[in-house]
Amino acid sequence: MRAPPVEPPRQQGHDPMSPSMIWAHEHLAAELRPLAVAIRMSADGVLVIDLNGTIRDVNDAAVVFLNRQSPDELIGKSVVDFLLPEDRSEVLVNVQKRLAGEQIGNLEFELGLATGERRWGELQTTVMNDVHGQPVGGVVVLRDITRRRRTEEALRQSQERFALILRSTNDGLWDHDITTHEIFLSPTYKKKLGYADHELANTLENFESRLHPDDHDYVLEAVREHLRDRTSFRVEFRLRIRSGEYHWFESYGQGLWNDAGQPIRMAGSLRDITARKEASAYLEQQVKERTAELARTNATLAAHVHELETVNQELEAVTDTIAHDLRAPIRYVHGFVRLLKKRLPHIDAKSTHYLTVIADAVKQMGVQIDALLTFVWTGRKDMQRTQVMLGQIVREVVKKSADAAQGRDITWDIGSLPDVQGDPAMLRIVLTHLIDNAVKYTQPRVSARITLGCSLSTEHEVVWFVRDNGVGFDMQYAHKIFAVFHRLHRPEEFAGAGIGLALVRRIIQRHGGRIWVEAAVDHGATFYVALPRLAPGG
Amino acid sequence: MSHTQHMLLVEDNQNDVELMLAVLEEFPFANEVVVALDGAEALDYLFRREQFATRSEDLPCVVLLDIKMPKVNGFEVLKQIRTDAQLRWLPVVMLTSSRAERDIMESYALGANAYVVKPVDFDEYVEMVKDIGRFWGRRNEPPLSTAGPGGETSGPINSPTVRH
Repeated sequence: MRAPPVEPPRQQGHDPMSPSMIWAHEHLAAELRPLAVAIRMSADGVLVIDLNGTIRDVNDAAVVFLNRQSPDELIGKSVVDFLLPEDRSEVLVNVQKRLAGEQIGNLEFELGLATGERRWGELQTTVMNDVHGQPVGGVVVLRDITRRRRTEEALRQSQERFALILRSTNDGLWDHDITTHEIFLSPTYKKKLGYADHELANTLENFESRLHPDDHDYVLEAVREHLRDRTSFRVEFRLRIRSGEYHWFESYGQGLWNDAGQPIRMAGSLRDITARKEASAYLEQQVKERTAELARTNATLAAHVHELETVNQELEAVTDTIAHDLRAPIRYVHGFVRLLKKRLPHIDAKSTHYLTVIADAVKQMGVQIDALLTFVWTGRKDMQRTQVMLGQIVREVVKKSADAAQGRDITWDIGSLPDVQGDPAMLRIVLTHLIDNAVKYTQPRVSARITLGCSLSTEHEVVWFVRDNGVGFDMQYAHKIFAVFHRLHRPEEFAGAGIGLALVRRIIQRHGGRIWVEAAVDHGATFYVALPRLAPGG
Repeated sequence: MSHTQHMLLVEDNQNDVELMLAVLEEFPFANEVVVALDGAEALDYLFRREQFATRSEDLPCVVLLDIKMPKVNGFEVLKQIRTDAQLRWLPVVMLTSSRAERDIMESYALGANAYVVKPVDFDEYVEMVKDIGRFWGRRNEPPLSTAGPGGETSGPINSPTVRH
């Protein structure tokens, strides 16, 4: 502050000072000097103004507060120049009222600075009187309260935000001040327990006593653990609500620690998850029931499988016995009949006939047994699944059949046959039987005609056929020809075991296909075979 | 081609033995056919045990082995032949009534050299015996250790004999 600190307000027109006054003035000035220093050093801005509001003197803090470089920029200017236009009249009125001796409180106002920054100041005006008690001016103390105002503003916004969250969230909120043991339970929290805000006191008791006895310990342990290890906090527990029932709740929480690392506060949310729990319990129950049901089904199935395995093993034993033990005696009968015949060179025609009958009969029996075994084995053995070129197999089979039927007049009409998925050996058996059948049943024809071709195929299956102009049969027996050991002709007419078509059908079935026949007595027969383009399970 | 060699027929059924010998009487392919009536006897013969302890060291040119036999079956005999250092290369032809796939696969898995199904038809049976005799008794060169010393004979040439 400049010396002299306060210039006598000469323009007021007071008398010049008497010597005694000068002394008093100097004496006072000397006495006031430490005070002047204090004022100059003060953190608060101090402005000396006259009655017009013109600044007469300022301290450093005032220069800084008003964002000026030196006191010269302020002295001689009106104090209101530094105020925002909207605050000017209020500040002016306040200052004038003070100067007029009115006892009014301090004024807080916002100040626009030359830099565009805004600061908050607290204004305190003290009237300065002359020796006659007449006001000559005032001392304005400016306190920078920007930081306080901003803190207050931040707090207000934070409170607003918290209030907004409290209103908007569907979760209940709780807040526990660990140092004071104060508890806050939000209205929504209480609502979830069935209470209005005023019906439930904000006490820890209102949480702990409502916890389900089974959940009590682990919830409190989870809190302790979170506050100790600062791990994330999420627990599920049951609380007794107003009706006395327990509801399931889920709570997320977060602790707050002081600089010493001691927990001082913990807050969190509360959500009712009863519906979710019940749904998942229901699902669990459903899964349990289904699993039990499945286990029962499996047990039944396992029993059936076991039964089937037993039957299969028995069947295997039977076929084994047939293969080994039943074929042998037939061989002996045939063999020894032939050996006997050799030793009896001079027997009569009838005896020769008898021996021939015996030999032929057992031989036929052997053929039947072999066919039956083939049928059983083919039905049971593992199937291969590869690309099978039917056309290739047909050429080979037809050549063999044609060779065997040498001397007969057979016209072969062979169209192109598709490739299919399946077991090549089994499909060869099918073609062999169908082609041999065609050759066999056209025997009485002077000119036989056997046609193979493709027909009626769709995107799912291929259909091919074997047609002959042979003796045919009555369609009313068509369903019987695929049965084991069933024949539509007497063995004397056509040789065979009566198993071929049953085997053919079994193989086609195992390929997921179908076989059917169209025939008429004396007008030949056509066997159709439909095979899926993709074999089942393939 | 040596005519000193003999065949071992392992067959439990007398009828089968008789049929086989009846055919071989007409078409002899080995100077001797030794018959073992079950697997145990076959093993005794091959390993020169019991009643065969003093037999000559000659090994048969081929073993015709039935599968289904009492005591030790054909598979077991084959297994023991294949695990013995002396016998492991011995030609073994399975000769059986069964053409069950399981039997066929099991035989080859155990190291059979061939698998022949005895035909029901006697004419075919005769053909089969002739095929086996021609091939295994004459055409095939047995492993060296199974061939007897050249020129030596242990029985009448071209006249099969039966031993039990």
